[in-house]
Amino acid sequence: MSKGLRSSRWSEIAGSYLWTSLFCAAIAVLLTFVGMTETFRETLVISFCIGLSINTAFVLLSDMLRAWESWYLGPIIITALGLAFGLTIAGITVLGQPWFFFSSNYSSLTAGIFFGVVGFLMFSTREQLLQARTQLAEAEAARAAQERRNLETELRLLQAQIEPHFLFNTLGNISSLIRSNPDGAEATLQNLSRLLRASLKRTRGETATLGEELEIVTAYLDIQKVRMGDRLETAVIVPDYLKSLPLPPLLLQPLVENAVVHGIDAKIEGGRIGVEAGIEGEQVIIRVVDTGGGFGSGTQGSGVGLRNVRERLSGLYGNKAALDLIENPGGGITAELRLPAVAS
Amino acid sequence: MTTAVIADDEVNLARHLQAQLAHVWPDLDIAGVAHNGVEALSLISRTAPDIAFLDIRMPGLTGLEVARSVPAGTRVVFVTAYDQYAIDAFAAAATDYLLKPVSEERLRSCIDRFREHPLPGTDQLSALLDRLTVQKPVERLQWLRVGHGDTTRLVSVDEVLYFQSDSKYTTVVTADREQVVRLSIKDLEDQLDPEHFWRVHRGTIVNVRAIDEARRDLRGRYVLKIRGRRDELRTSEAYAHLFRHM
Repeated sequence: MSKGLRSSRWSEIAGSYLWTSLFCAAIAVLLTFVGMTETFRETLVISFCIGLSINTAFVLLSDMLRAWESWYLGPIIITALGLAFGLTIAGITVLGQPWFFFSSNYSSLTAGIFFGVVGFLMFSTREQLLQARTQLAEAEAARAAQERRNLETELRLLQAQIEPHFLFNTLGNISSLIRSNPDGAEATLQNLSRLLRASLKRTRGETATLGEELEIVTAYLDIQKVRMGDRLETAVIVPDYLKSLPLPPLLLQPLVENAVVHGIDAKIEGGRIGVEAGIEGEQVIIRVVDTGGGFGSGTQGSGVGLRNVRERLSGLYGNKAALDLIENPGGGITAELRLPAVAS
Repeated sequence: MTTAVIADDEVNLARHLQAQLAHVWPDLDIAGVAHNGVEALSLISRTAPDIAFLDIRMPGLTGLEVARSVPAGTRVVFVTAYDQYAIDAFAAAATDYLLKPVSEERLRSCIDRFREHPLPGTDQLSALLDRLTVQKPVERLQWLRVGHGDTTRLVSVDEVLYFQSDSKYTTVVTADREQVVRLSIKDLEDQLDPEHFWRVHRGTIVNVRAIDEARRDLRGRYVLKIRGRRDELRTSEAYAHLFRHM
């Protein structure tokens, strides 16, 4: 790749000399034609000295340009340097006096400045065009990369939706309850159906509301309560008027699953999981609070689900949404989701 | 009389297995039921049962960890809903295991096997457990505690683009924030996974997965472009070798 870059750099440089030569020849022809100079040959030499010198200054110093904040200051300085050097060379070549065009005859200096400005304007326009094109290409690449990341996240999410261990464990629980507690078995079966139905719906890419997501989360928590017995306590406290808010699927559920698996289930005595939502300013805040063991040990791998959520957030909302994990003073973790309240 | 213990953190499942055992093998004496790994271990050492039914995923200690400390006279039967990796290993080593939901038919054949060969093949089992439990990777730093006013936030190291430190503090740079942690660059280097985090400078550790581009400057050091950031990181000459083969 660097080889390709280098050869394109060389052809760019060669091209710039070619254009400069044509430009200088045109100036010499023009000046001779309007009768401003003595001989065409001399004018051509002076014009080439100045033009090639300015071009060389740009080739050698243009890397420095990118470090400059202002877009015009650098090129002006380089043009001036090139012009001064070119006039000196022209003085030596044509008259054998380096300072001739700075002391005795100002016509070449004037013409040099004039065409220097013209050349500079042409150059900077071209440079800005190039820069705009590069920026466009970069933005395009960034967008494509973001799209690819979104797709990958979606895929990972689909794969992660129903964890096999959870599925078979739930089936084991249902089977164990069928005789001893038929009502409990039926309720668990219905909760499992709700979860499976919800994941099918998501596979079809439909949007959801906070209320619908909370139903899924409740189904999930109820199944976990059957599984964990009195080791798990739950409380979902969300005012009704928030339930119609649109909420992309699979932002809330992974946080709740995380709280169960890495928070409460890892702790022998169990604990409590709370889901709360509210509005602060123009943001919806959704919190999943657990009293579990926190991120001490045995939480390797819990980062994956959270990373999915975060990548989805940035894909959906850019920097207008955030997920924070806060350590509770009394132990456990609060996962805090902030989203813009108005769907964009 | 043959004795057995059951260890499962899920009350329903433990009770159900007990009922199934009573049905399939009425004479079996259930010496106790445990609901976490720690309880299971003390129950087994107290009662020295002939059979221990161990759920794999339990809080405290996993079934695999409990099995490592089971006395020689106890035959272990693992019970699991889905642990494909372990199940493949059990099948290959002819270790007893049951899948949830446990069918009575499967339970019966497990018990028949026990009746034919009541003694556990301890050597084989301990070799298998060594393989299954020792493979746990070294505990690496996964979460950073970042003070933020009077709250403590947790930042996953996977999110970190790079760490930059001066003499006193270390700044954690993620895509959306820069925060300060009270860990020295040396502490971080020791605790982070060296596969993903490279010390590239005296004061810099970079997440390799966040590097977009590494280019050489005239002195042979590397200048790193970090995903989504405008600033660039410089490597010192001492760490430049890390990038030679990139």
